[in-house]
Amino acid sequence: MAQIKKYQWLLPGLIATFIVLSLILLSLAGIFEYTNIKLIQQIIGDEYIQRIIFFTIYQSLLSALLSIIIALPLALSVRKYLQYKIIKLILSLAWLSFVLPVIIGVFAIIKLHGVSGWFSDISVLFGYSKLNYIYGMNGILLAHIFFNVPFAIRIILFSLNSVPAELWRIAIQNNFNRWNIFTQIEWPAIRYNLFVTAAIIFSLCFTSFVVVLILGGGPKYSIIEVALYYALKIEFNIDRAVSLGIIQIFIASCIVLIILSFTKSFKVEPYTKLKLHNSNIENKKLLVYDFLMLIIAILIFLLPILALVISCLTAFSYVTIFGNPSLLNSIYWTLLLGLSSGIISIVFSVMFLITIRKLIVTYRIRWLANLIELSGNLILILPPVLLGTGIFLSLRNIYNIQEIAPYIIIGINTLTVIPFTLRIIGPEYLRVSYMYDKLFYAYDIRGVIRLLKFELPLLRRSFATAFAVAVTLSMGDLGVISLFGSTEIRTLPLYIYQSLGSYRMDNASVGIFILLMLVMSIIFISEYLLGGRDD
Amino acid sequence: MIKLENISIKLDNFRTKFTVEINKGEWVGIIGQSGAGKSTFLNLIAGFAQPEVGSLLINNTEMRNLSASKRSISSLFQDNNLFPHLSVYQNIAIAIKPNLKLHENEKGKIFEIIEYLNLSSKIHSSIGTLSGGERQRVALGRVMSSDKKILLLDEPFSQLDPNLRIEMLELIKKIREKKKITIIMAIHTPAEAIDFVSRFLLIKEGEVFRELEPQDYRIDLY
Repeated sequence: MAQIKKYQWLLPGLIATFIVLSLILLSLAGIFEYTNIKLIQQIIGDEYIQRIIFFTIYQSLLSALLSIIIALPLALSVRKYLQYKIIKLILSLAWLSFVLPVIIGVFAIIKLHGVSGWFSDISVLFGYSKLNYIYGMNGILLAHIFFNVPFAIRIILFSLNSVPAELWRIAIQNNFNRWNIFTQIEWPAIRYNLFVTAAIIFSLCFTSFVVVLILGGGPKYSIIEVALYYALKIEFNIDRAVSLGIIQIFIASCIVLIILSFTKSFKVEPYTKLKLHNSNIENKKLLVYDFLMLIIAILIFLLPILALVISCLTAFSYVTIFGNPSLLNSIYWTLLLGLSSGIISIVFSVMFLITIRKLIVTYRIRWLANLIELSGNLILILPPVLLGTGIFLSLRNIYNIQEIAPYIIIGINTLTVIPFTLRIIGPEYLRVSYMYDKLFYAYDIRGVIRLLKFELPLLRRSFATAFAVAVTLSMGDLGVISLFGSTEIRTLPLYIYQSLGSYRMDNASVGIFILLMLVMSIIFISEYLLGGRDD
Repeated sequence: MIKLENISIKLDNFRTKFTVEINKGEWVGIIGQSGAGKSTFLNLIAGFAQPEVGSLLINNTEMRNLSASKRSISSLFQDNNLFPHLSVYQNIAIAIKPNLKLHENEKGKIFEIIEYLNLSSKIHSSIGTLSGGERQRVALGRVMSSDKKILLLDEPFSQLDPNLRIEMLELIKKIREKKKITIIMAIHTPAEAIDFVSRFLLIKEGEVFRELEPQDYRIDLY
């Protein structure tokens, strides 16, 4: 009995691992149940599938390449002016595009570049016809640039922050010109992280379901995950859905393996922690170039956000909200599903971390800790739509899927956000353990008391951030809800998507406005009230 | 000659007010407690910090509005003096041409310096493989190749062991005699510099509090 009690810390991690693996295996079982040799031969020979794979890889590569090409000169120019508040504000707003639900960003892009968008209106104003370039490859690339360039800029700025002040000073004293600075200081500092960033952007674009679903404009510009959704939801072609699922698993596994092998020393800090050294080094003529770069940054990030805000404010009215039962229903489901996934993912992360902490800090069995952590991250090879497809195929003959849909949605969204919550809470959780373990042992503080009375207050900010990220990601989900949603169970992203599909832009605008307000409220409540942030 | 007159900049706890003259070819030691303003003193001369008021003359030319890149000054820091992706040869060559495309005569000059610093066997080594002393010698090589007439040393050898510190000071002495340069050196261990500097400037709360003959230095003066 004493022996069992000694190892009871293993239990939370093992239970969490068991539940996560069960869901993943359930999904895989559903997919592989329909897999046979004939199907695999069919996959290899199917021209449609070959085209989808080619387009998925092609658009991901192009998006990653363009994002890096645009981010690099922007970051190098922005770096010199980080001490100005206006630049910090632009960067913070740009960063919003990376953390807000994708559908909000897509809507912003449509409001600016769409057929009825600002640019189209300007074209008409000057006597030209309406502009119609948003759907298809153009729209996909525009959206991917909008979402990923801020991420790349952040990584580049972080990498440059590792350059010691002394090297900038040596460069000044030895009359380095702009090119010398780039080749001898900036490029050596950023090249490694730039490659990893490109790989991460590639993988994000590879599974960019919402962007391609809305802006792809149809099957011609479809990625594997969207084609899978069409196959299952529109055509109900299970063979094709399974084929696409297998390909997705194979390629996503390769990408995750590549990224994981390069990201061991990869770390990102928020801008506020950056202490960059203004080198005061440049030729005055370069000020014009830097100014041009800032204008480009504003065009890419601020204009869509401005278009979004104005569109939301003009469409907003209390009558449209309270007189619209389906919108109210969407708000209810968004909050219910988002908050449930958020809370459960935090609970699961803590369960994983209790066991991981003990394995690393007390017993130093790192391989087992890594294995348990890996089970929390396995979801990375199974994107939500694919996970949902597998679960649907496994359960469709046993349960009425509509009846259990909310549980499935919560389950999948929880699994999807666990890698993020683990990443946010994990390092801090271990740090607290290293710092206070001796104290905890000395005073025999353990179990629930240790967790609630000591660890939770010490880790308040990490928990609050993880909660905000988990809830906002879950609330922004469109992939899983579009698979399992219905007229009864509909979240705001699905409501917005359906409104966009039926050209009811005002409804979409109101939906976007409410989703934006909900997300901002969650972030505010989490970071400032729960997290006690006072800065 | 370097002449500072009421050079003032706001620091965290006080405002500096440096007034001092340093002769051409002189080697001056800067001493004082941590946070007294030693590094700021050097940064103001180098142009890395911009004074709000006061005057800085070098050879009777006002330097206040001259950018750091236009001043004939080299610096050697405590750490991070070298570009980690470049070899020993390239780190020295960078002071002649930052793009590293050197003419034959310029290459010859680099080889001479490398030989002088006893680094020939390490010429193509990467920086990561060098010891602390070797790294600082490479940094000195870069200073030598730049032909600048003023050298600022900001506690450059404090991470080396005492014997190596003396060895480096001897090397700098030889370089000074050879290249006729003016040296201003912030130092944490003044006792080691007594045989090298012509005088110490004791800095306290942003001012040159006292000038001391090397042999008059005592820790209780701080």
